[in-house]
This record gives sequence, structure tokens and C-alpha cells, in this order.
Amino acid sequence: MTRTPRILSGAATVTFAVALLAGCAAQGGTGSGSGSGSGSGSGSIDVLVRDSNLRVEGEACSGARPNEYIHRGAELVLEHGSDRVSVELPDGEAVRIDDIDYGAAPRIPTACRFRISAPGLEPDLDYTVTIDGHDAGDYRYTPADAAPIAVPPLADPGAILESGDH
Amino acid sequence: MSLVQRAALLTGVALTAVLFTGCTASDDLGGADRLPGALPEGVTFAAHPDAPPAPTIDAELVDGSPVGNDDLWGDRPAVLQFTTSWCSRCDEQQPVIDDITRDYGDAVTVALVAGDPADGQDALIEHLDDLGVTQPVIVDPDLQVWRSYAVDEAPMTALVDADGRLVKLWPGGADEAKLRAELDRIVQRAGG
Repeated sequence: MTRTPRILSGAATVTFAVALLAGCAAQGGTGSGSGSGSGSGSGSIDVLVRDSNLRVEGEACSGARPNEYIHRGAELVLEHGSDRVSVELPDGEAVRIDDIDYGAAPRIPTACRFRISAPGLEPDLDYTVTIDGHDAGDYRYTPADAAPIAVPPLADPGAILESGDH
Repeated sequence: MSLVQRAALLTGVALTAVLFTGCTASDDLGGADRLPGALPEGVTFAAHPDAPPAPTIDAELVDGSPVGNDDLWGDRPAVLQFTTSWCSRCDEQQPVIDDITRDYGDAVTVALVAGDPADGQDALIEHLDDLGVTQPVIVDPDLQVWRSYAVDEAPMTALVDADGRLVKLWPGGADEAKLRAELDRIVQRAGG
């Protein structure tokens, strides 16, 4: 072995080690969702999981059975033709679904609401929606009322009573 | 190759090995080595004869070891914490689970039951490692154990007595004071 190959061998070992270390750092990182569409809309919309699960209002939540796949980190995708908007869901928030007085009960019937920013949504286009690869129906974004993406879908989005702020 | 050159090469290999080890979770993370050891002397357990039998568990720990009722309860009570890697409130409750694990030691089995799907096991292990989880972790990718304990959403805490009876279920996760109160009714130490 000549001197140069030995040096190269040592450098290769160190390079490999650094690469592994970099791999560790990358492995420890967390992804973040982002809109990737080309449209002009930039309002926030809600994903509303209508599971009627008993929760403490305002607590962090994820979809209850059978919607366990809807949770922080799950990918929401809206597609219309070649337009594609992808968003990583944040934590949901438990919102009450009725105005019934449950007295001192800490846990009441709720829906789990995920509030997301979806830049790139074009008004009045019909998008197909998937969440973590599961079909979530169609969605039409209208900035004026910004109806939620409801799971299961609403029969009449105009009649919604259970989205909290809408 | 001279002695110095060999030493340099070995040092490089060792450094690489150390870095590579640092990329992976500890070998015994959540595995069979984390099940409790011998029952402490002088500890007895109060029974809850009116409670229903706890649903059977026939599953695997995160290291692939089989785990069943006999590994979890039968000679001691068990606390099961149903969780997922994306559950923020589970993370918030983990310090409570850690405190219970430390304070009751081998007198109580404390185990997590993770409902992450099969394609999310790497993320689960990374998350458990980040949290520094010391308990055994049952993997339940098809939610079989979750279903049998009527878990709709994590977190949820279950308390099983030493006779395998389901004493309590806390949807949303147990309040620490209430969990300790129940455990203190069950775990009886000689002279205490």
C-alpha cells in the first residue's frame, strides 16, 4: 500500500462516519406540510372529523374509530386536474357538536377539528380529497364561507351546525 | 502496516461503529427486557372479585417477543397505557407513566400499547426513543388489543388487578392522583 491510498483510505473512513452522522441528523428531523399548488387562494380551512367522540372541549385530538388514520402528521391532498395541494395535518382540537347542557361532565360529544392553511386552493373548483390515502370525497373551496372538509361528508354543507366557528 | 497505522485504522472503524450505533434505538427499547423482574418480597395484592375479566392479550412487544396475559399480570397488577406516536396528549402523560413505573417498581407491570400501523413502526420506534420510554411496548398495528379494550382514541389507561380483572378504564388517560389511589388500594406492602 502506498502512502496516498492509505491517506485516501483514512479520509474515506472519516467521510463515511460523517455521512452516517449526517444521516442520524436527518433521521431525527421532522417533516412539515406545505401547500404545493399553483393557485391563488391562501385562506384557512377546517377538516372536521364528525366522530361524536367524548372528549374534553378544546383538548388536542385525532380521529376516533373508525377514523384513526386522521391525525397529526397525516397527509391531506386536494387535487383538481393537474393541480395538487398537499398539507400535513396539525393536532386536531375537540369542538362541541351541539348546544346541550351536559352539566359538570368534563367529557362531552365532540368532533375533532383540524385547522389548516391551504395555499394554492382556487375558489369554486371541485377538488378530490384524500387523507392518508383514504378517499375523503370532493371539496369546493369558497372563500366566502369556507365550509369544512367533513368526514364523513355532509349531506348539505350549508346546513352545518357543528364546525365551531362556521 | 505499522502499529501506528493499524491503530489509526482501528480508531476510524471504532468511530464509524459508534456513530452507526447512535443512529439506532437501543436494542432493548420497549422489548422483553423491559418487563418487570422478580416480585418484591412482602408485597401482596387486594383483589377486585366483582370486576370483569380483562380481555386476553396475545400480541408482540416492539422487539418481536411474544407477550400475553401471563407476562403482564397474574402475579402482579398491570397498567396499560394505549398510545400512538402522533398523540400529543400521550406524550404529555408519559411523565405520569414514568413516575408510576419508577415508584411501584416490580410490584406493578406498566406497559404501553401502541396503535401505530404496520408501515409506521420505524416512526414509532424513533418516537419511543426520543421520549426515552423505559416500559415494555406492545405493538398493535391491527388494533386488535385496542378493539378488545374499547379504545376509540389514544390516550387511554387500563388497570388490571393481579387476578386479571379489569378494574378501571380511563378514556383520555388516567389522572395521576386517581391512578395512584387505585394502585394504592391494590398494592399492599408489609409494614406499610
